[in-house]
Amino acid sequence: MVNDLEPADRDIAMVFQNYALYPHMSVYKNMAYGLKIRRMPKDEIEKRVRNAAKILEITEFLDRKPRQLSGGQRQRVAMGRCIVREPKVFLFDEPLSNLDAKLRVQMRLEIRRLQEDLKVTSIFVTHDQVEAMTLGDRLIVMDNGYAAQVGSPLEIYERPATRFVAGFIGSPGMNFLPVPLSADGQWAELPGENRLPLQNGGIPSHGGQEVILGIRPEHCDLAGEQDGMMHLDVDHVEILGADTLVYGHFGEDKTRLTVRLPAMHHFEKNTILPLIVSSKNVHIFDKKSEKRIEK
Amino acid sequence: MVEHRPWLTFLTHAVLISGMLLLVFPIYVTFVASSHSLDEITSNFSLLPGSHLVENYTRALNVGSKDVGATVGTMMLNSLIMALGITIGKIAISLIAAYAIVYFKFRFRMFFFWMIFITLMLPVEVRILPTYKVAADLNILDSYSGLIFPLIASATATFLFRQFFMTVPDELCEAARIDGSGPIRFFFDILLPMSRTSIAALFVILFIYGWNQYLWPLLITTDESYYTLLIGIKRMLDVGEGQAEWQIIMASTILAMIPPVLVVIFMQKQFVKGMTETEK
Repeated sequence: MVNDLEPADRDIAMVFQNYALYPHMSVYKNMAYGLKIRRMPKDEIEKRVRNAAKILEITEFLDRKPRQLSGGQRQRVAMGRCIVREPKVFLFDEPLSNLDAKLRVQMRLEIRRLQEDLKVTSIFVTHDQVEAMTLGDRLIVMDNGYAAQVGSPLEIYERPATRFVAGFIGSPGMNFLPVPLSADGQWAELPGENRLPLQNGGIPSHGGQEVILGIRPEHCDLAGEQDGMMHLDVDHVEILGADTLVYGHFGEDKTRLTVRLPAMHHFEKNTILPLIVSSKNVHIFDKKSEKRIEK
Repeated sequence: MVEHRPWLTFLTHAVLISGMLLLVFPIYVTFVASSHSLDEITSNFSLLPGSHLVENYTRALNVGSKDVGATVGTMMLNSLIMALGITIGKIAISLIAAYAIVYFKFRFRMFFFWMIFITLMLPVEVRILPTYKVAADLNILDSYSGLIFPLIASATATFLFRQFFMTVPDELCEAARIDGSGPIRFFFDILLPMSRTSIAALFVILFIYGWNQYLWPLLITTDESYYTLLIGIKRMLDVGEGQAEWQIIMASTILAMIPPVLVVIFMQKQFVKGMTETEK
C-alpha cells in the first residue's frame, strides 16, 4: 500500500495549483532540488535539468527567480520539476486553474503532448470538463468523495451512469424533465401531451412510474410544425457564432429547456419553436436513486 | 507629494529640521563634553568642541574611569558578547520553537503555544528574583552564560516567526516532502532562506534590546571584568562626595551608541524589507 510510504518514496511527482515553487531558489535550483536530495551526481542533474528545460522551452529562464516569471512560465517550471525526477506517476492538482483562458488552452495542448511524449501515467484533477474530456484517456467523475463513474470520455458522455455525471459533462448542462412512463413502459409522456417512443422495447420494469428524462441541448432539432414533439416558447437566445443557445419553456407546467442549434438563428422572444428529439439520444434515470435505467 | 505649494514645503521642512535639532542637540552636547577636559566642563562649558578629544577617548578605552576598575574597551567587549549572545540565541531558539508549533502535530500543541504566548506579558523584572535564584544555584553569576542564557527565551520572536511560517503555503511543505526532503532539510533549505528578511529585522531589534540590558547585568555581575558598558557608565556616576569624571563618562556614552547605530545602518535595508515585505 502506498499509504504506508513516505511521499518521497512513492516515486511520484506533483504539479500544484499554486505551483509551490521555492521562492528563494532559481528556476534551475527549483528543478534540481529533488535530485540533489537524492544524491544524484552533479553532471547527471545538469543533464536532466537542461533536457527538461529544453522540452519545456524555459532554458533562458534557468537563472531567474520564480517571482520574475509569468504564470505560464511558472507552470512550466512546476512541470519541469516533475519531469526531471522521471517518476512513475505525475499528479496534477488543477494546474491550469490559475491561468487565463487563452493560456489555459495552450497549456492544455502542451500537457497532452508532453504526456504522450513521456508516456508517464498522469492523474489530472480538474473542474473544467473540457480539460477532462480532452486530456483524459479515462475519466473518474467524483461526486461527494465517491467515484460516480469510471470510463473513457466518450463512454461517459454517451452513457452517464448517474444524473450527477450526466449534468456534469457537457456544456450547457443536460436538460432533466420529470416524466411519467406509459403503463407498458414503451412511451414517455412528454409535457404538452406528446409521446416519445423508447428504444429497444422500452422499460417495462418502470411502466407507469415517473422517471427523469435527460436530453442534451445539442440533441434537440428544429422540426416542421406538425412533427414537433415539444413546442418551445423562447425566453432568451445566445448567439455564439458557430451555434446558437436557445433557452425557453414548454408545456402546461412551463418545463424549462435549453437547446443548442447549429449555425446562427435570430429568434424573437416568445417565438414558438417545434422541436424533435431522437429517442436514441435520451437518457433515463430513476427518480429516487438517480441512477441510469438500462433496458 | 503631488501638490507643489512653496509655503507647504517650507513648513514641512521647518517641522522636520526643528524636530531633528531637538533630537540631535543632547547628543551633540554629549559629544562636545567628551572633547573637553574636566576643568573646562565644570568651570565654563562652551558649546564648541574642545581639544582633548583623542586624549579622553584613549583614556576611556584603555584605562577607564577611576573607581570602576574596568576599561571601556573591556566593557564594550562584554556588552557586545552579551548582545550578540542574546540576539543569536533568541533567534535560534525562537525559529526552532515556531517551527515545531507550526509544522508538527503533537499533543498539547496549542497549550504550549499559549504558554509561550502568555509569557509575552511577563516582563523580565517580574521573574527577576526566581531567575536570580536559579542563576545563583547554577553558579553562573559573574559569567557570560549568566548574562546571556536567562534572557534568551523570547515569546515575541517565537510569535513573530510563527506568524511568518503560517503565511508560507502548505503546498511548499508538501512539494518539499515529495522532493524527498525531511523535516531538517526542509527547515534549512527552504524555511530558513525564506525567513531571511524577518531574521534581519529581528536581529536589529534584539541587538538593541540586548545592548541596552541594564537591570539583569547589574544584578548578577559583581566582578568588574564582566561589567557591561551601561553598568560601567552608571558606576562612573556613583562617586559619592567626589567629582565625577564627566569627560570620560561622555566619551563612554558616545562609544556606547556606536554599535547599535552601526547595526541599524548596515541592516537598514533588510530591516525595512522584513517589516514591510511578505516574501513572494
